[in-house]
Amino acid sequence: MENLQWQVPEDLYYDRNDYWVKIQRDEAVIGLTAFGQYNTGDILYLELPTEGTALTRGKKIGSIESGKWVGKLTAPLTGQVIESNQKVESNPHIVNQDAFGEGWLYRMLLQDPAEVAELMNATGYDRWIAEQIQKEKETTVL
Amino acid sequence: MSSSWRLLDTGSLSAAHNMALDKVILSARSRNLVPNTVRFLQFSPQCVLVGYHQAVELEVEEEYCRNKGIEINRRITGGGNLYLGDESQLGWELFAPRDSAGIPNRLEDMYRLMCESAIAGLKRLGVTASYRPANDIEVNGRKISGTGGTEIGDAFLYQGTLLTDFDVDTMIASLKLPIKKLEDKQIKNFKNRVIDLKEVLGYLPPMQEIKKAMAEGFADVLEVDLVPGGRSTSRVKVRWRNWKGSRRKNRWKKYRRFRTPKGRPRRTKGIPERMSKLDAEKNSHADVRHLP
Repeated sequence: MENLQWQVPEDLYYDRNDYWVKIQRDEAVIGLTAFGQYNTGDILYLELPTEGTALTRGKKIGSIESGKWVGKLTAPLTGQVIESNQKVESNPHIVNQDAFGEGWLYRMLLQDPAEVAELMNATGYDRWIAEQIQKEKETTVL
Repeated sequence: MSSSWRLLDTGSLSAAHNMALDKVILSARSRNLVPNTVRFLQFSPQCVLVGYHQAVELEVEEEYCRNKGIEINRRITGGGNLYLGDESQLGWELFAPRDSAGIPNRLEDMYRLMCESAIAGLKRLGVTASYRPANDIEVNGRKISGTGGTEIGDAFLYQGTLLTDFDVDTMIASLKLPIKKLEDKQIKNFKNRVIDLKEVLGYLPPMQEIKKAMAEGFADVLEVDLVPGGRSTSRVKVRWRNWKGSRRKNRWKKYRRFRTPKGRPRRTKGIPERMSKLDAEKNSHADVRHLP
């Protein structure tokens, strides 16, 4: 199923918390997807994990504030932070402007590369977005 | 069949106790130790609250607050600085899992639903209010309630304040606001951008009547039954004992969730220049949307 509304680059992996993952050998670059931003809105503050922070897949690693909502950032994979993007921490709006480029969040060293197989590819993420939209239409009260 | 939510009225508490309760109830909800909850809260003594990511020294007139006995604390929710008068505003909060039936996943849709439920309560008081994106409720274009939220685990907290009998002058004096540099006429104009229940109705209904109407609004729009209840399970009591003092500490109030350029977390002393500039820039846009 093709998703025409949100950009879903083919060369990336995705998780169900709307992070994109770019694999570069035993490292990964992590960012927030366009659909994730649709759900979150304009980002006002970001608290990213610092270099050396141990990450556990699915666990909270930082915070993100948009529209008076403080949400959690979770790790899509297990490993260790190599570098966090200082530019987006100073100016979180970059994430909204260029989510798949300058708006990356952090780079990490993978502890278990086999975890990547549990992420979705672009086709799977497209399908997952469509399911979420359908679910939303069926359950929303207003 | 609609589900049952707990209705909790914790009355007037200090800012530190209210902020600790937010954390305890939300974390207890995320662990399924308490049911979905609507909480009403008030503050005594009067206080100023900053948003989770804000810096107290950039948002609050600390000396003025000290001299006037105005407490300062930090919310776990987002948004801007706000002033809460001594029992003169009503706080309302909803605690539930993010995947609850009828709760939208998209935040902007969720804000709308939560605000519409408060608007339904106001309607029961004879007030025609409307939703102003992203997080506000207004009456005739003037703000009467601001809202915000957060999440722990799979549970969320969405909260708002309803201006019942609001002291705008103390708000202006206790918060660092760009409008202080404005002319008197502009300040008067600013004051006209907020409104309280007393002004709308011409009188202030008893607080119990306001709470009853708001509770009915939440129950109606969220399609739930509200059952009065307390915070009584032993595991929650343990959590409360562990947390109730935590929000009095400067470590919480003054902690700034930003890092120095070297990447190490730091407290508020000596704000990095880049962050000062950033906050100054954010403050330059501060207006009534951030309050309260």
